[in-house]
Amino acid sequence: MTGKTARIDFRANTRNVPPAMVAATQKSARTALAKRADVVREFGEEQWQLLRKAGHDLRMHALTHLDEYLALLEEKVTAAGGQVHWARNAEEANRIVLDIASRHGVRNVVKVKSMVTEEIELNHALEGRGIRVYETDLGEFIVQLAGQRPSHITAPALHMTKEEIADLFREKLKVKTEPDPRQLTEIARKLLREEFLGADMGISGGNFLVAETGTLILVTNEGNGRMCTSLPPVHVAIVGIEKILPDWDSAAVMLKLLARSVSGSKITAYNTFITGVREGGPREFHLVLLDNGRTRILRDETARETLACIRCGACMNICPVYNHVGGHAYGAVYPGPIGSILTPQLLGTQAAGGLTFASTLCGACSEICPVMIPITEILLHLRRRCMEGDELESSSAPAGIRAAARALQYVMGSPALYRLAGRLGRTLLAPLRHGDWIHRMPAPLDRWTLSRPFPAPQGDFLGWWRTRTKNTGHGGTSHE
Amino acid sequence: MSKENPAREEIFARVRSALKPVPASPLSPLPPSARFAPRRAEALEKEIERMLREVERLSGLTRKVRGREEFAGAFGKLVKDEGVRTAVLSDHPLYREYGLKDLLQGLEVEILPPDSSRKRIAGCDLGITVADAALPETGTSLLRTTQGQPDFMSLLPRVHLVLVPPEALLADIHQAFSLAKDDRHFVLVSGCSRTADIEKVLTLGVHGPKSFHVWICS
Repeated sequence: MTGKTARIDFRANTRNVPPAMVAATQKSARTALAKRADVVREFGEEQWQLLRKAGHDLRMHALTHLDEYLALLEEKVTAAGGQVHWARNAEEANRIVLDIASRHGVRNVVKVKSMVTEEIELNHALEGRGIRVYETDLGEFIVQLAGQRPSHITAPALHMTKEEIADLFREKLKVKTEPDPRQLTEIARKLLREEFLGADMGISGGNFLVAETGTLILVTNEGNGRMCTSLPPVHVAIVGIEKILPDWDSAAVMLKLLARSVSGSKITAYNTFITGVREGGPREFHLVLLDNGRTRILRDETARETLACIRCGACMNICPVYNHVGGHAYGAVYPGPIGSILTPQLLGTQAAGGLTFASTLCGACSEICPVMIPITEILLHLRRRCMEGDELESSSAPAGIRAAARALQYVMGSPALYRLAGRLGRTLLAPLRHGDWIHRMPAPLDRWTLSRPFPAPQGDFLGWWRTRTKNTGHGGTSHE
Repeated sequence: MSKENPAREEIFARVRSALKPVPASPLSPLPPSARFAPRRAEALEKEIERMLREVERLSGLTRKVRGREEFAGAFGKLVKDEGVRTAVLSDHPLYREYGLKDLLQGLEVEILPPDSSRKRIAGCDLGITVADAALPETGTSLLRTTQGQPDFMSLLPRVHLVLVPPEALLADIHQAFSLAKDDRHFVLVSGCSRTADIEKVLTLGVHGPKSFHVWICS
């Protein structure tokens, strides 16, 4: 997301989703959700809700005091011998990393999976300077080798079958292998081991930053995160400014929430805690703090909670829409429900406003979110922004739709016009109805009747309302 | 260092303007609802059982070892089962108690010091560490990184053995953080390195150890 704002057409992207992609997405989501349900049950539902509340409240506390915590973090990282850099946007972040790389004559980079580096398209920038970049997370390594984009934030290659991966390895790595996950993993292990030991620079993102001590937290399973941040002589971490936690008690809460929500584990294999530089570790530690649209999200009090996200992917796993279209349909780095609210805010509604409609508003995402982000409320808020515009952005709706909405508003606001329009509508629809149903309507209303019939109006609303009030003896609150 | 950095100043200005209704203050305390009560420990024996059970759930191998003789027997078996020819270990008082160096020599295992080249450690069969803290709730060992116990000792070798003295068991991660939060580097290790990135099939030993042992040593 480097400010190139090609419009994301979600509807078009969903047209040719391969059935295998849908099957793989659903299988992966089902597995993750079942395991998550088990660990949450073991933790105790009531306790889990308290933990979510704590997670939400501490994330929101950190965000509403972001300037203070960022200043504290900078002070602590610097005191521990680390170097803090500030990047207003993707270009600036990439330039900072390239400068560090060129100062050290870096030719080979090993990388830990990081959504933020996908967001700023760092690999592209590094490769443009002739630097070789190895993604070292197995899923990300596969996706990089295939020249694709991850389809899930914590399971990047979930859309590929073991047969496809074996073909890919045979073609690109010139190895003999069966389509066996263990064999394929072993091949990646051998190849990347050499790269870890020979790399000039390690690049990571960060799951959290603890302001109290200036500590970077990395949550991983494969061990590549530890390799990339321990073995090369220089470690650069690129982290969004919103990833900050006030203190270590907060970190304890977040780690309990994160692993359980990601994969249904109580904890991941490795949690690494890095504060500045240390003897025997990388000689230099650079922390690049990235804005890239985050302060703009912070301005909007309703949508601000988007920034509380800890990138667990649970909202994707539970989302009926995501489960039917897969991650690539969202056309951006962050897919699923969180992508539907984050991407339009990062790229602007002109480019990505369509994503706010990529939801049934069923609310499952808000219910599963470990930090209780009200995703559906934010979706509605952003839909309103798309249509009407607000102080942050002008309307992105086509002029025709806006004119129609204004006209509708005018008609609905006047009882006489409303009655007239009702009569006109019924007259126009009369030739189309067959009993209680309308089977075919003219464009653009045929979008509805192409898939199901439309119920024909049964008289006028105001008349119905009057009779109803009389019959029930009170206002419109009764339910029949 | 970067106090005159225009990017820094602009980001701070943007943050402050976005948050304008919030008064600038010295750090305000977190609301009580943002806190979560730590878990309480049960009796030691129960905690040990829980620790071992959780490690096994993470595909780790466990045992309880009492005394020098039992340790020697168990260790000989591990060396044989895992085909260990080289080992890297730090200089910890616990090893002396068990006479670990003599044991290794007796088993004809070559001992690498922790400051060996990374390449050598990467080719080494067994890394032995001592947990600075252990969390029964999740089967986790906390390893503080020091010059005598560098991070890659528990990461590069094919097999990782963690020795846990019972007094290292803590009730919750909160206590573990109180112990290590001022360190420049530490890790929480829970099981072997693993992935489910290919078709959700659990695969052990991705980049780190392929085999993981936790022994409670009393």
